[in-house]
Amino acid sequence: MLLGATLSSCHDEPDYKNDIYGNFDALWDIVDSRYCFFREKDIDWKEIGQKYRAQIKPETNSIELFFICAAMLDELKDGHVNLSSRYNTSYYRKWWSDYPQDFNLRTLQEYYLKFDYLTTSGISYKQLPGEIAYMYYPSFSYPIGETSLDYILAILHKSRGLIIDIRDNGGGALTNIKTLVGRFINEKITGGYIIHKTGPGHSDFSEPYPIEYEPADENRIKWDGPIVLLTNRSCFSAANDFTSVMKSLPNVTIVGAKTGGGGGLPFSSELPVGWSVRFSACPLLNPQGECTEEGIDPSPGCELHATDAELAAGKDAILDFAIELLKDKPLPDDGEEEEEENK
Amino acid sequence: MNKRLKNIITALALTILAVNAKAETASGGISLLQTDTATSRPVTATYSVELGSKNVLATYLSPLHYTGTDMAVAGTWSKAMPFSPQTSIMHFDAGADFSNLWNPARTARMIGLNAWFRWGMSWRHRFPYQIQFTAGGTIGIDGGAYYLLRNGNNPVEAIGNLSLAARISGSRPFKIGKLHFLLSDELSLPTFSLFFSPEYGETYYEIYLGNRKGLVHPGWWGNNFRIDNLLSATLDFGRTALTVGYRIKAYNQWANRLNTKIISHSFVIGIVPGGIGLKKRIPRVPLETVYSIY
Repeated sequence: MLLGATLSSCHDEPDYKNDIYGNFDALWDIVDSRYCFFREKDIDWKEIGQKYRAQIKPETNSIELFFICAAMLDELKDGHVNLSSRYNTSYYRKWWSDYPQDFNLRTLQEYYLKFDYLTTSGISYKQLPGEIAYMYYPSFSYPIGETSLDYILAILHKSRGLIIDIRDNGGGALTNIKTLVGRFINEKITGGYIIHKTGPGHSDFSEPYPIEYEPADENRIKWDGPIVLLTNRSCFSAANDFTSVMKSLPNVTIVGAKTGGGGGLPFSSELPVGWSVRFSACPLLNPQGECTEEGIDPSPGCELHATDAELAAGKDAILDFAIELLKDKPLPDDGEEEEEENK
Repeated sequence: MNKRLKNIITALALTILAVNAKAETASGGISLLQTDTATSRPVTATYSVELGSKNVLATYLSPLHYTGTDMAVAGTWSKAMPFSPQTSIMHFDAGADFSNLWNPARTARMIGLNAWFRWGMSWRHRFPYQIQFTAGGTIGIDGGAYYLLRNGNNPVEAIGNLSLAARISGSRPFKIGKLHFLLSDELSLPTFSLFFSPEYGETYYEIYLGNRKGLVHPGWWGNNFRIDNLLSATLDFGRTALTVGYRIKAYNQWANRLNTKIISHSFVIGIVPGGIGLKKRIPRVPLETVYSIY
């Protein structure tokens, strides 16, 4: 018994004090042992820790400590990193604020959808002039119902192509990606890989595990025509992953701006003072096994921007480009009409 | 305990224990009468409620210790075996606990829910001065989860164990005035096990995707040390008995560089329908009654 107690007590954890240094050290250790993109971003976390720890003085108060810690976390340049207290949640915004927005929801609704569109499962959809199907999905946090998808695709099916607009989609649940992708494939595909940390070292990672996507059930309505996926810099996390998967499909063209990244599933932890910290922990890789943290590029020749002035004037250059790509595509065959003609 | 659940557990216990025996219901309790010998071997059942404190460190979820209250309902059933009633006892334990825990700053809450089921056999020896000693083994399964409400992709630490445990106990009856009671200490010490642990930074989403590699670990005292000790006094009133006691449970698990340390202290109060045989009643047929608890 004593032997057992002794052996198991060998694995003691650091006991951080709830003071300014204890909390800072706890935060630094958590990120050091669990954050997953040090290598990809070439970050010297030890040096960063020393730089910010030197800013702490004995008279530093809790609020000042929060902002020193938040500034240290900003060095990770990661939109999945937050420090949360009762009075603030720190957030690195430059991953999108330093880039053009390339999207204006009001412009879309007023000039393209004419304030006349259908909405279900968070997806707004309509057939645009020229028989082009359009759906706007603003967040992967909206659960997508299979039956709702059936209705959307049934209503839009007589179209030359499908535009899926995920601009400003900041992510959500990965399971919604599977639901959506299942409508665009006819056989199982490997849409990417996931890896995780196996220890506290910066290079301690598991082997990539494939993320497989199954086609939707036979009785579900699918889309096998051309698809244009619209992206901007504010496509993040699950939206970034969705773009990565869709880019691997032969009938999909990515149009717009490079996505914002967020290619790591975030974990949570906390400090003795009670603040919570969130950080990227499990990298998601594209089907080629490459890191997606820095974002997904549009298809070759399809990177373009929509300026604020144009958007304000009612012109969405990215959407216009997508319509142009699809306007000459043939309408899908209608089996029933052909049968009637034959009769 | 929910009456229906209690009935189910009792029925299950009886099914296991009543092999080759004929069941007979006795007033105030349940007894089994073996028709081919003149020995009665009643099932001693204890139904208890436990209330206490718990301290949880689960580094998959947080580097901080969570503390709070722990509540449990438990049942134990034991019976002397027909082939050697004086020296062989069969045990069956089941229970569930619920924990409500907070971090030191009380800014985050953790909820724990666990259940266990154990079956085993013990050998009994009676020493002079009425001291009784038992030693044996159990096979058990227990599992549950600790859910940290503030976490995103790592919200739960799942607990799962299939274990072989050593079980020992010592007891001695006392009498103060007309009150008969049994003072006992019972220790369960899982020794070999198979237990569950995700990898260091693995999400349950990845497990859901199908990656089951490295989740099950062979356990021994070096990586899965657990102890469950109950010090109790059982006051025998004849037709029923009252148990009060103190239970300490400790659980240390180390796998994939993840540390889980759980310790709980609980006050135990329970009843033993039918009593434990210390307070002699008017003899009934059959003449010899062998109780399992003492």
